[in-house]
Amino acid sequence: METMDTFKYFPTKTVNEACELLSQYGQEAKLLGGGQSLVNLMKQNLVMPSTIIDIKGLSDLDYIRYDKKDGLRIGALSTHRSVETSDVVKENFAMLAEMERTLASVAVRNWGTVGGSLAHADPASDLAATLLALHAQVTLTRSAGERVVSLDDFFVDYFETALQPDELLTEIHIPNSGRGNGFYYKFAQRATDLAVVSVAVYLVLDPDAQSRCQDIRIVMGSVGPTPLRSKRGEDLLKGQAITGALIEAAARVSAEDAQPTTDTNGSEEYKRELVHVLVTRSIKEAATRAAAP
Amino acid sequence: MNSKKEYQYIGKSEYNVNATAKATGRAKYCSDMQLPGMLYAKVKRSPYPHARIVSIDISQAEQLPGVKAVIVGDENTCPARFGAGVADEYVLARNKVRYVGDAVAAVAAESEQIAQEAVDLIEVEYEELPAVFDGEEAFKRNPPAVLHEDLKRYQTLRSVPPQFDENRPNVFNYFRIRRNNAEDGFKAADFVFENRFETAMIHHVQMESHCGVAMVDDSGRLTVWGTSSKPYGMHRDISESRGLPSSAVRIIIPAHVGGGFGGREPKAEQIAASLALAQKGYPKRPVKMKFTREEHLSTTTTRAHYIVDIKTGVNKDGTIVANKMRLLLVGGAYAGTGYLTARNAAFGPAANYRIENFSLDAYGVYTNQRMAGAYRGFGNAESLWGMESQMDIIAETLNMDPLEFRLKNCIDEDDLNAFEEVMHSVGGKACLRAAAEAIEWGKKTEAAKPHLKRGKGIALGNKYSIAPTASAAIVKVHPDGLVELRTSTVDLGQGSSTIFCQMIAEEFKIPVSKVRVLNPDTDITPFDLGTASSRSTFNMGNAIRKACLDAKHQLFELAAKELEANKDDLETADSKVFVKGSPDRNLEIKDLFIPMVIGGYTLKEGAEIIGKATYYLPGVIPDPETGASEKPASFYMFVAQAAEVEVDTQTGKIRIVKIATANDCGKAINPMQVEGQQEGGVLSMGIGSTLMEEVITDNGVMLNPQLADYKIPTTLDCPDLANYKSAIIETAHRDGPWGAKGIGEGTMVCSAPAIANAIYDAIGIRFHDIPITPEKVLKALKEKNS
Amino acid sequence: METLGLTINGEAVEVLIDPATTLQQFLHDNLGMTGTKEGCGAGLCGCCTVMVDGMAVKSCLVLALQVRGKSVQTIEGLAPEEILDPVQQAFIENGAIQCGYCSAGMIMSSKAYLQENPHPSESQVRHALSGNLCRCTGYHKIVKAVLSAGEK
Repeated sequence: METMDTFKYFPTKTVNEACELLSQYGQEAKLLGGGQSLVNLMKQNLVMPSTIIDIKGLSDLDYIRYDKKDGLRIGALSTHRSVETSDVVKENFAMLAEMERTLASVAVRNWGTVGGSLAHADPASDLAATLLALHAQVTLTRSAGERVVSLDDFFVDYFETALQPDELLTEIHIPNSGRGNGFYYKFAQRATDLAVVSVAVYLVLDPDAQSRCQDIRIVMGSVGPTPLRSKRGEDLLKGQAITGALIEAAARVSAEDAQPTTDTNGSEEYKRELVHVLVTRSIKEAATRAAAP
Repeated sequence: MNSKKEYQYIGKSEYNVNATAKATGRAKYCSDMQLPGMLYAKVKRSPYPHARIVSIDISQAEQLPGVKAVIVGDENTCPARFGAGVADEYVLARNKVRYVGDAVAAVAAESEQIAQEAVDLIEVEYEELPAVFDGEEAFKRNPPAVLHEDLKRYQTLRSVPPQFDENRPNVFNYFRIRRNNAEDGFKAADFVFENRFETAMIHHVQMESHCGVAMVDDSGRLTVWGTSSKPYGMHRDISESRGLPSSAVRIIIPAHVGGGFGGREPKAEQIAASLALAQKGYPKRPVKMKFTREEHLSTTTTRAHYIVDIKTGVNKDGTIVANKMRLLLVGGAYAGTGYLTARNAAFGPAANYRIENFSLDAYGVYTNQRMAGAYRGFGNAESLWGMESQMDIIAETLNMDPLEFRLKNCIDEDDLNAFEEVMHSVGGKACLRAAAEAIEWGKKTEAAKPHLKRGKGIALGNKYSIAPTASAAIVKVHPDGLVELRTSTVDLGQGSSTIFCQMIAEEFKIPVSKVRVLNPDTDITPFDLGTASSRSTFNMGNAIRKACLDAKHQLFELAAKELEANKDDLETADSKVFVKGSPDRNLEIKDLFIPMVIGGYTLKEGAEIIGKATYYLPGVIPDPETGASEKPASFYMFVAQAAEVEVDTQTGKIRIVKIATANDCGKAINPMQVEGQQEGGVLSMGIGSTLMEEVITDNGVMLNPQLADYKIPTTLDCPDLANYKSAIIETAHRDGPWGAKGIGEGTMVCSAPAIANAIYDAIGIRFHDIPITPEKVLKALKEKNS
Repeated sequence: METLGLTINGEAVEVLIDPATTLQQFLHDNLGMTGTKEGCGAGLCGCCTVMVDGMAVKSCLVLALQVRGKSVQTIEGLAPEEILDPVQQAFIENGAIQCGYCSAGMIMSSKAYLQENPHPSESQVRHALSGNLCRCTGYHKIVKAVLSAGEK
């Protein structure tokens, strides 16, 4: 059994409280949501904060709201499980609910929070790749105020985000395009593993020409320091009729632009192969779903 | 013996007698033990695979408040080496460390946290030495590193001593079989096939990590609790390594242990014992040493990386005429029970088929890794991985159905195996037919998409059970009619306690609930060789039956006087003794006891009704030159498994569509429990070892020592209920209790080849090593298509 | 040290603990409720599964202080009066317990899921239990047991 070093512990009930504590303790403090990532790191002594600010009790940030025009807003303290089982998520952003089903296991999802997941910024994060494909933005709050950051700018490096030491991620916002559909494809040896390679595709078809792609996002997970957009792949398809040849071309450039590294889960070459296959299959599936009445 | 006969308790799926305790969370395991004043232990381990220990400074650790004992590898901690077959290890390394993780010091403290802090304060200076990890390199006459320079001077086990090799300093055991002349056989054969197959190092992953709790009482006597499967083996190791008389040590194994699978070398227990003894003055506080999951996966014994070279000669009519093998168990820094694994891996190939000319050389070598060897199957899954893959290669060349090829050559009752032993109780063919039927052999199924390819494969296996062997049992009849069994068999989940209750229930004609099994305790329960080699049903079962007879003999002697009958005319049932044929002439067992003034009940003579017996099977030690023996094993369990796989040719992912097993256990004492063994063997270890498990190392350091990266199957990795099929084949053994043999290890000795043969059928690629990962599959597919 | 007040198996408990204590350590070591076991300490094996406000959680990755004021149910709380819970009964009857080390966690995960979805399909059961590892059974009889408890 690993042994955690002791720490100062502050539970909080409001965002203001949390922000004030963050300003006070800054670098020495760690925010604790569900702890499914943080507690694990602390038990291995990889992270040894002297202060823990427990925000699991911020029930004000536990919500999922949907509006046809505004889109989906998820409070940072929502659990993965609540997103997975939410009717509005299942109806309007099915790929998000499906992705949640592939994330670890039920018990982890019951306690782990979406905000915590994003702040942890594991390059293999299923949530990060999916939200990036969905054009998500996050609200970062501090005592002095808040700012909204696009997820494109949120992930900086391995386990590093744009969050400042005195900031707290409070909300995820997915603007609703209303006409899109997507697919999250996770490849791993076992269903409960972190992704070896994952791909999230979100596709909007031209309302006037159903075989034409109006907009697409192709995100590759676990093959770089952060989830990566396959911009070259996206550009190939934007505004074009979706053909097998184009999908193949998009998959090829995606594989080229991925940045996988060799580890116990596979070699770099193998991961590139997987990117190719997963992008192909994901675009096809997303297109099929987007075209469905 | 007729295994079709109906019994009252034998052959019934009685509920496991420990299930309620486990289902309610009441069952206490060694890991749950909390004794008053208990201290917690942590270990200082070598970061180097091979190094001389220059100095160890424990002064800072000793001074840390809360630390009660700090020990290093010296005369005090461990005066003598110990080991299952060759005494090659100390409790804590002395002078040299031989693998990354080798224990050099240990601390007992008030809390785990303090113990860990103290460990971090211990300073060790090492002088690195060249290390060897590769089996073939270690096997050389001039290897890059020699692990045990004094190997020839080490003490070895008298009854089954290891054979060293004059010219190869890292060999810790050698065994050979020479039946007739393999070279002549190859010359005469129409076809000769030669291949190499390998298995990766894998871990047992018992759900309970190794744990030991040790306590020295006020008389100075040492008691050790542990997760070991061999209480008497541990007893010997702990007492002999410390120069303690055997009566000075007591070993207790709790009634509940979280899995065994052959992997319980008593390292945690040894360290706990030393820390308990090392405390100065009295009282000496109990010490608990529980390995973390990382320690468990990275420092404890594994199933070895095995190298199997096999050369087989066949005639065009499909008869196997010659077989030659070299088996190399790539062991770790200490031999442990791996010394015997290296030898006994020979049994599987020796007893699968009728082969006139058979030659085999089996070796175990030391490398600078943690101990490797004993695992479910004891080397036979590895040797049969080679043989059963080879058989399919041969069948294809001969244009024969792999099933028909096996049926043609399969060993049968009264055949001679490669030891020249006459085979008895052989269910091989029945297993093959049952497995083939279950998988719908010969019927092709179509995958849903063009990039998915399906195939079926089959394999035959067998697992011997060890000889020489001995098991002793003591059976006590209580005044209230309860019968108590004192046995040192460890119930590690396989359900031994349950079947023993069934056996006694059958003998005494009482309900299973009126039988109680005590947990192993060397003060109370008599000798048993160990819960290993699938031997408990057969050996302890026989001992129990004999002990029951002895107890009943005493019962009838006592009752005969009261009933005025001849003791040979008496029977017992429902806690009564009665005259055969005249059931109204009976008495209750309690009536044999006389109430005494002040209280209590006594027998007039003999103190208690206690039956005791030893079942001893010496076997015949194989000839060192030829391996010949008329009884090298107690019995053989046969098995056949068949699989249907689906390969995603774009990602390399393999899905088990369907899998089937047929196991010959002689007689299923408890069919539900036999099924449980089959299921666990195939679905967890069979699938796991073939497709996803591997200890990945770099310079002796394990890179995946947690359950996220060392992958065992989850619920989603096993086929659905409808797609797993099992059959129990009962080929009664004349010496087995009610014809029973065993089941535990036969359950996965041919899973890997069954799956690999199916993969070959699907995509035409032969894999020579396991695990067969998606990456390996994709790489092979690309090479094939280019 | 911090105060921790909560309900465990229906009983109010109030203690002082070091904040660096997981719920699993608290239950198993501090309170001696050994049914909630440590199998890996990293949230991967599920041996430590308990219910918090009816939800299955991995207690080895939950700080004990996070369940202040909450209702925790452990394996010991399923059958307080000797009458076994249908899930426990099903495990016993179906031979779903071998070494038993994973069983408490497996039963708690099953119980929690059946409370959400009383009549699940096999696929749903497997999905619900994917975070509970077992080395002995291959899950076969476990899945059967949960399905049979679900039928009732």
